[in-house]
Amino acid sequence: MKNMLKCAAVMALGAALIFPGTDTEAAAAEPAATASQSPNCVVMKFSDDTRYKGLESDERFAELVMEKLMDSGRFKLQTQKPIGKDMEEMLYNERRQEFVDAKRAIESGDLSAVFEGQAFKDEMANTLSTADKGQIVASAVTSRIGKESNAEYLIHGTIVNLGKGTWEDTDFKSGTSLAATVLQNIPGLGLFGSIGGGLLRNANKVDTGFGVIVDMRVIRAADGEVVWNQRSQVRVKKTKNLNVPLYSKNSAALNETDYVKALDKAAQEVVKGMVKDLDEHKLFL
Amino acid sequence: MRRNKWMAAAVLGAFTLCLPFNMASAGKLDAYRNMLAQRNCTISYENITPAEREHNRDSSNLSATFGRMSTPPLYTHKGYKGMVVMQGEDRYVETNYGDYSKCQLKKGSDVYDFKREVKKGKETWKSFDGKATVVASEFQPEKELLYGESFGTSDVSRLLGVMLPKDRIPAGQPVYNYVGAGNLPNGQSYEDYKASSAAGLEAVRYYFDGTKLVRIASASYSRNGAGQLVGRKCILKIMDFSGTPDSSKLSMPAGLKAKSLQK
Repeated sequence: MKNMLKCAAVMALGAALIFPGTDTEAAAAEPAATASQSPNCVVMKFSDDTRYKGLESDERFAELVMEKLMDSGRFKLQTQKPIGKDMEEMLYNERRQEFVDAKRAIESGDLSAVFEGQAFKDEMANTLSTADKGQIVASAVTSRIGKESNAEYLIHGTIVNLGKGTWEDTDFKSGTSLAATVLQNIPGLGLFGSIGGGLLRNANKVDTGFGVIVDMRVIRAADGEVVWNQRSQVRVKKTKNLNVPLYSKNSAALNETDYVKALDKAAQEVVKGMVKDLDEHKLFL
Repeated sequence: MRRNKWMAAAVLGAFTLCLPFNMASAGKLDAYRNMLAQRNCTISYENITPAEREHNRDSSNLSATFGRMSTPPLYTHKGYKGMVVMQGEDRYVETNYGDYSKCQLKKGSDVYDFKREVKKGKETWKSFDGKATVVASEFQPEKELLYGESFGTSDVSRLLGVMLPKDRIPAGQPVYNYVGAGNLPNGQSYEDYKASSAAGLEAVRYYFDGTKLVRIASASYSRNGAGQLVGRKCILKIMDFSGTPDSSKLSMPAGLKAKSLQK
């Protein structure tokens, strides 16, 4: 036994000598190299599609995403803060005359001017929040922002849903259901197995916490094309309500700290997804 | 006497001239109108222009249309595919988001609402509360008399509903009038309809490849809460619209039990 341990220590030392931190040096060099190679980006003012606009979740979330993008060292951001311009408002202003002209055309009976026009092409997005990958938002607006900010890509997010919720731990449920089946089928246990199995089958574990659903998109400024988008759903579990017969444990209510944690976790998930797709050359097309 | 004959001829001539304008609406859409009106059809489509989320920013406008309010948030703003199968009083409506579908099966006066989920490659059918048995709710004909028949989301219900004969349009709902028809440079043809109401203005174009309905597009314009004119488009790609009901959809999926209200 002692000889085996000595042998293992010698082999480990040999490996350290042969491979003296090469990977670490490469990893340390890579982020800086990638950031300088990535195109110029700006983070736009985000949108909030929830009922809770008073919470200013969009601003908070945008700042968290910006912070994590900067911390990753992988993105060449042109500003230190999200750009304050409201893209949705800018897009609406750009299209206002188009709506007036289209309404007039329909009223006069010239429907082809509308249906066969540029705005009706499949690739033209209805709105920013419904724009999918490959679709185009108003290029006049995106290219203007891009020129003003010296950015090739605009990063925009939408908070789609935000709220407190409860959800059953389905893994716990699957486990107890399986255990119940086994217990009820063990020969010889008889009534004990039947009762025990029944108790297990009725046990459940319900988590409470904050949930956030966000959409992130990267838009090429020159032509307004959405080159990347991702929807992330994040849950931050705060409390665990365990209910088995003869025992239950319920925890306290949620607070603002939990809400901020949920936004922070969502920002982490989003940036993690962006870095992953950046590495796989799927982010900037 | 001669004068009366001339007058009669003039009236008859004017009437004959008017006929083509009325009969022009008896175009390619009629075949599809009849399938819907006779409730014998299978329709399969894809909506590539999902609606913006409602009931969150400002509106408290409730709607009786199936599918508008209870789509899980994870699927909002996402395109979807759908299916409508009708055979007499039976009807199946599905809105499919890929790994999740909302389904409704109407069998006589029983209405079953359930969902389809795909997790880790495995497809399961359950009631909305996660059970393997779906309890029927009672069909409410007055709801459809007031708001129109439901074919899925509000966009799909409205665009298919435009095709129905005018006597099937509920009182108070916009009536879409035929505007005209024509041909497109790509070889397709179209028929246009338009409606105007206090809620706004909408035009709908039905595209045909030969006599086959391939696409429905709508452009609607209304004022938002701030008084701004906003426009919205909706495009349905029609994959199938036939007069043969897919009977496999008019019964409960395997593994899902139904509890009827009928005794």
